[in-house]
Amino acid sequence: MGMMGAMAVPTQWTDVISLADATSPATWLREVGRKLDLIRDAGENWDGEGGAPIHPRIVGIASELLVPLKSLGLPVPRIAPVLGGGIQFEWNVADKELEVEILPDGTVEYLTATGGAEVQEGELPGVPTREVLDLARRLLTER
Amino acid sequence: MPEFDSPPVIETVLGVEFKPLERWGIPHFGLFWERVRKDFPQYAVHAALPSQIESFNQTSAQPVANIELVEAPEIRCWFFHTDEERLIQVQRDRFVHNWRKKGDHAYPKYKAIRPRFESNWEVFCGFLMSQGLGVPDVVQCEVTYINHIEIDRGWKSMADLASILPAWSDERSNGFLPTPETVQLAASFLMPEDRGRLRIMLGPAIRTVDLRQVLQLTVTARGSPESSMTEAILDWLDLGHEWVVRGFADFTSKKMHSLWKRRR
Repeated sequence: MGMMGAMAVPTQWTDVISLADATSPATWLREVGRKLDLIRDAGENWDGEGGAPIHPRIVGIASELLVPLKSLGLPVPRIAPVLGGGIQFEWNVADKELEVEILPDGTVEYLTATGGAEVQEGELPGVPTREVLDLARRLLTER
Repeated sequence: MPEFDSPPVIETVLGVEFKPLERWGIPHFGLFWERVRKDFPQYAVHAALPSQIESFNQTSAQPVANIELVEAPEIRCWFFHTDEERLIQVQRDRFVHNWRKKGDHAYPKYKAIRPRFESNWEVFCGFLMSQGLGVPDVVQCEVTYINHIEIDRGWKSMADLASILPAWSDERSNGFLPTPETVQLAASFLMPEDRGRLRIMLGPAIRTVDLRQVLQLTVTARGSPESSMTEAILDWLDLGHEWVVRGFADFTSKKMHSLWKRRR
């Protein structure tokens, strides 16, 4: 259960993050949410080639992965739909790049690159909130 | 009573607060779980909620929070139903039943939620009796409806707030201030004869399950039942529910009622 701000009651179950005080983690999530809105609201045939709409379950996984990143100071990621109904996020920080892709079946894959040379990629287990958080931290701290 | 075919409610809370059970201990959480585990197989542990008893003898409309010094940390257990839509919250002085909207499932209506609360409350009271913990001395009931008005469904910015809430005027005396970046509202209303208090709160939020931006409109009624008998508790919950629904309809605009498909 997250911070809920003054408009929540203590007995509330649904987790929300207040935008009332316009803190940077909350506004970061708002910007990410706006980008997600563009994708999920595009619906069917978003690519003009019969592309499948993004399933709410995929948006749910995306949200689970993104919420823990809200306080890291990352730029807002580029977010793009993936053929078949998946979602991809991408960050570029200095010469480093991180891509996280949620495939239509819910599988999560990642790719990191430094200076366009050192490439590392793989599949992550389950809904890998901790792993994605670690990858994002490395994007900001490792040289 | 007002009725909507497509209301923005995403969660309801029916709860009771009672005087702290003196002999309640940590093991009782597990023992009670055994009683309901078939239907509520998952659990989580949280800090206990502070007591929040509405006061009607003071000028302040703030709920009274009691601070108690205790030897052991007070906790609250959440027990999750298999349907992922229901939750029971239990602590030494509280029993709360939540329903939460899952996916596209429709709000099941109060008449369906009320008997679920009643049956779980009866199980809880039966458990207390069987453990020699006594009968809860109920001091307050709570009905809360949490509504999410999603962005682009009747509003786009705080400039649209006046079209959601008739009580809010977007006017300025001198036209100096721009459109508010953000707004938080809190209002309370006394129910007749000190039967309780209705609180309405509104503020912008991000829902973490799908990162949708929403205006969260929370409507809470709290007050004391005539007695600790289940029938009296249900009577007060019915009253609280009526105030929540009528209050919600009164506080929100006819334009939004049309979006939410108000029937009457």
